[in-house]
Amino acid sequence: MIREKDWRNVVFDVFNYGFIALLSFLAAAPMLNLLAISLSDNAAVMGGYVTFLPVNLTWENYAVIFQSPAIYKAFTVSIQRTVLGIVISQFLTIITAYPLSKAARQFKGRNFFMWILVFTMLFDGGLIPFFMVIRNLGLLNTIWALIVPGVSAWSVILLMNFFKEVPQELEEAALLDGANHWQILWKIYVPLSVPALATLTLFAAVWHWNAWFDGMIFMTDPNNYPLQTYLRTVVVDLNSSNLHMDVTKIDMLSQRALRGAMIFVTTIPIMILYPFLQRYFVTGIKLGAVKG
Amino acid sequence: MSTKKISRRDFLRLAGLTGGAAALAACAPKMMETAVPATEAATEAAVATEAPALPKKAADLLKAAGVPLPGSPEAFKGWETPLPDVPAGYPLAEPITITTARPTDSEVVFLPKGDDLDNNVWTRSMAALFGVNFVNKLTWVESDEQAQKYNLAMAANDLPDILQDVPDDIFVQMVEADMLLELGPIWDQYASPKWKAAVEAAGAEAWRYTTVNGKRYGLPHVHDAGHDDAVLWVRKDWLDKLGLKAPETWQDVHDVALAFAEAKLGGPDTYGMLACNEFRKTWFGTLDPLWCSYGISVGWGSFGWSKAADGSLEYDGIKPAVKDVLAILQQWYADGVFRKDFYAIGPDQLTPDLSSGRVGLQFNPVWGANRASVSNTGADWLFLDIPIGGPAGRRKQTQSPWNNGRFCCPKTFEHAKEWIELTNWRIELEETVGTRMHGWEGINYNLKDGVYESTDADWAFWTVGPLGTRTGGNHNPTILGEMINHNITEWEKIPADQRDAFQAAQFADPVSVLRAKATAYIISMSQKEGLVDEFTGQPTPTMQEIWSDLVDQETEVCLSIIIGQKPLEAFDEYVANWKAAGGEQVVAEVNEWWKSIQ
Amino acid sequence: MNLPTLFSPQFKAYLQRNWMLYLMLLPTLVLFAIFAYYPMYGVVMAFQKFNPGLGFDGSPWVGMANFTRLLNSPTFPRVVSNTLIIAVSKLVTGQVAAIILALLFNEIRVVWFKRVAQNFLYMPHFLSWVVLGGILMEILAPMGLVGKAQEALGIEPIIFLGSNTWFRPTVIITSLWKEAGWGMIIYLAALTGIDPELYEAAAIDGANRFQRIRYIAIPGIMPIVILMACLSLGDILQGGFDQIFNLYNPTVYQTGDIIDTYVYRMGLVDAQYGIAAAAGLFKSFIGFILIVVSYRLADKYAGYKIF
Repeated sequence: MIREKDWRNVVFDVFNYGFIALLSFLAAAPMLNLLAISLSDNAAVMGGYVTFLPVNLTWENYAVIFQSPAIYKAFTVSIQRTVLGIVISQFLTIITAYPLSKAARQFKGRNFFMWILVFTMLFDGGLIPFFMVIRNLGLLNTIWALIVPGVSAWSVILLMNFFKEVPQELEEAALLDGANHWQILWKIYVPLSVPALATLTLFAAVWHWNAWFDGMIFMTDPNNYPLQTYLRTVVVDLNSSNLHMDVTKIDMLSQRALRGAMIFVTTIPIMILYPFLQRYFVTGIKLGAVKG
Repeated sequence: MSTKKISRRDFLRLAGLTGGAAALAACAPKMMETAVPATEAATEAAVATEAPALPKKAADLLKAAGVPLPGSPEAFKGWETPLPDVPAGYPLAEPITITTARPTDSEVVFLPKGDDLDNNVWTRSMAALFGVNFVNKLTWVESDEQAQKYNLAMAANDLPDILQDVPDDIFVQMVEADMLLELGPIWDQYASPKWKAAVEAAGAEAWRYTTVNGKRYGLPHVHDAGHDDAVLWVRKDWLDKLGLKAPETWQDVHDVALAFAEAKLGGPDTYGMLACNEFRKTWFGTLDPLWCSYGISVGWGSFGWSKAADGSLEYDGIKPAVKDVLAILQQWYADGVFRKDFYAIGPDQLTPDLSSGRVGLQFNPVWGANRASVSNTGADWLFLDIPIGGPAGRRKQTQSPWNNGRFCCPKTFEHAKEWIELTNWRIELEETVGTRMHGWEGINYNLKDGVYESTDADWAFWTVGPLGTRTGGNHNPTILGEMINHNITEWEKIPADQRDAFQAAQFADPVSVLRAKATAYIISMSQKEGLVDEFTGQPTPTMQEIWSDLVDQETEVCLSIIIGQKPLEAFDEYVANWKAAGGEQVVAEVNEWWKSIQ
Repeated sequence: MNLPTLFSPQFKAYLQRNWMLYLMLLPTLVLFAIFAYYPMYGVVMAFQKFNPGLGFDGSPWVGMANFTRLLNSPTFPRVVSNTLIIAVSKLVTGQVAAIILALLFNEIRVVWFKRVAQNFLYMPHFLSWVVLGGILMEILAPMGLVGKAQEALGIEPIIFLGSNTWFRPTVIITSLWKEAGWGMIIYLAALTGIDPELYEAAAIDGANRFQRIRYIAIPGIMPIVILMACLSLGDILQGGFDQIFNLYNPTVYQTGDIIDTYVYRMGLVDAQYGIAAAAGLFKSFIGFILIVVSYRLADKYAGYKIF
């Protein structure tokens, strides 16, 4: 890209970098605060003395966490469901988005199928019937209850739009060469949509990693709880049960340092996923294809 | 000495002396008399129906099964935990399994590592002694989750055998759907005389919350009397520093609070007294003693209902006395007694104020002491009587101890008899003045050179209701108070060097001594000073329509008046609107319900 | 398509070419049939006085009573209006912020800065509102950071979460803070799809940086912008329960109470699944209409079919 040594550009750059730096710090502040809390002495935390630096540095909270077998179990379950979930949902999303990205003239019935998908984004029958389906299929307390329902119409629509951007000539050329739709999809569309796929993978991964409600409802054995569900049993959400406090729960309130460490430990793994995916967010792939 | 605090539960689950039986609470002698005929009757019945089965020695059964015994009789400064005899017919020749639904969370800790809710020393003991295996089918951490899971279990028609703390609305629905077992007659047949005496002493109140159409569908989850009741806590060291005496009237409270706020003894953000946007009754920083001293009962989120002079029920939220209290609170807020933004925060945001020492007065139940000890060295908290000064005298909000939830069973449950008999045995062991059940050595506590040290694992959390459990449970509201009182007084009499390790530990930690004393005091006062919300039925039809709207308006009006956004007269306008919007219809319906249960 | 055409030779040829497309749709359709469409019978709950023990067959029918109860409540209009205002504000500011951030990021050359900043910016997205709400309440309190800052500037500290004037702006800004960093990811992905040669050509023609952003980058991501806007319309009546629930209190009901928090409080008095189901159905219905309308509008005026 051509650089211009215009004074306006310098000003803009200074402003840009400074502004972004400020925003980044503001955004990162709660996490940094949590990190400091997790490394601090609990009494200091309870007294409100901890801001961004640990007070009375201690590793005890992390020690407690990593000594408990429950968290490793929960980690394993979460990793299982995330990996399986990503693989399955990405595959299904890809093969569903492709036909739908064809124009209605080309693919009869396309609009009908499209609206079937859209409808499900808005209407649902509630928890009880869904639970009964899972139960009747024998999926309760298995990892499949957390994975199988995981194709999101939203992702399909997004990917479909990215597919639409792929130039028609590529497909026509391939058809002339005798390729069938399967080959066209995997050899042309998918490689050209890497940024989109990376994005969707990220979204799917985050969704699976952060999901706690399904784990709570479908895993009847607490040993099978995924990470965030397990986290809830430790970090008590006091707001929703605020009507009738039990004295013993109040003791849990006093463990802010431990809770901070818990949150940190369960959030870090997913947060570092994005940097790995960042290298897929590159330009120019499409371009090369057309030229070639 | 370790800083592990001795939980109130520990202190309370204690026993008396092995020798001081004569000085025990009144119920003891009676228990002895009535117990004998029961065992005789049981033996006779056993003789009549099958081969004679004598009560077995619990210790023998446990040893035979390889399960450790509770207590530390051999250890230096240890104690013995005498176990009652296992009733005839147990352990069952063919073991049974009872499934449960109960709350659990990270405070429920197991030792040795590897144990869990279904497999720990308590469950193993129950299996060895009774042939009963407890298997947990449903757990939850908090009430929304519990409601979801109960609903799903109902929809799937797959309920565990013992359902803990079935909430009011779900209970009614279960009864409507005819899913519950009628526990009343079964309890009548098998409960021990001691248990029956305790329940009968409470009269109709005991079964009020588990009865529908005259049938008893559950066992009450009984809390100790005054469990959630508040007392006034004050920073004694601040009082001393400022040369003030302990507040006795509401005016005193106001003055002391202002003095605290001005002196800024806790830093620049010091203020007088805890309060939050739950300005009626809440679990932390409640204000109910003020309301009740004016005769206004408060529920959890709205006002309550009290008996009027003519025997009907009236809603306290529209009484003129509410204005008096609002005026007081308005004045206090303007003067700076509360924190400036108290109306924008909830009770959980108040706990840091306490632990960082920013406040000097609080109304709280027993746990006021606990919070205070966390990070505040030098803080010296004292608990006091509720101040006097309102027309109703010294009152505070209380709740019937029989109304803490209920244990229900599905119709398909076949072993209610065994459950009740098992509980009979447990009452003898855990809830008798003079027992010494403190758990298992090496599991719940350690004895090192005669010094008691509690581990994090609380055995009561592993038990299945109606006694023990993660959220408490007794067979009788006063037993806790009786046991504490007995121990505080009896053990203090023993010379310090002759106490065993557990007894010595009770007096070693000033915070738990304080809490114990507060507990005993509160229990004794709850009968005299407690004001009860009399409406404990299901929401009436009009209530279902409009009550949540009315409560929203009530809260908005009250808070606006307190913070000075609206004048006191706005209350009158609100009351008129309330009546017109259907409030009077609600009162009529509530009174219909009231008449129906007289 | 009428019956004769179905069996015409052209149709057979069409099928021969494209049968694979239908096959590709099949797995998802089956999944949706089982897990999305079959459970939809649960919407009847909105028309019943539902008792889980009695199930959908056994619970008594009340017709439209749940809806009338909801719609006739004097508070309902206020609650719907709050929901709309808050949701639309969050939507608009959220998307604009995400787009601007993505465009600004696109101009950053220093790679390590770009990476680190991105990772920082989306951190709040991973924290739940339970955690963030607690942190915010502490910060925004008069005795917290923001309060102290105001004092230092000589202003009387504003109680943001207790004031009807400030509650909504607080909700919107904190929502931005939490989500903008995450929302920009999709736009970054879209920006990478723009042909670099376009930029180069424009630069040769003398366009400066701002003109390049205006005439190339923005139009380049416009399809995605429209798509995201339309998709979000389906959620127009969501408003964000978690956030409001963890931040609100009775003094801000007037401007901050949304449909979901209102229905939640109704459920505390008397757990009526029917009401919650009716509210849900109401929201779905409105959202669906809005999506259909926006689809038509986007098609007609922007020439762009989002679906």
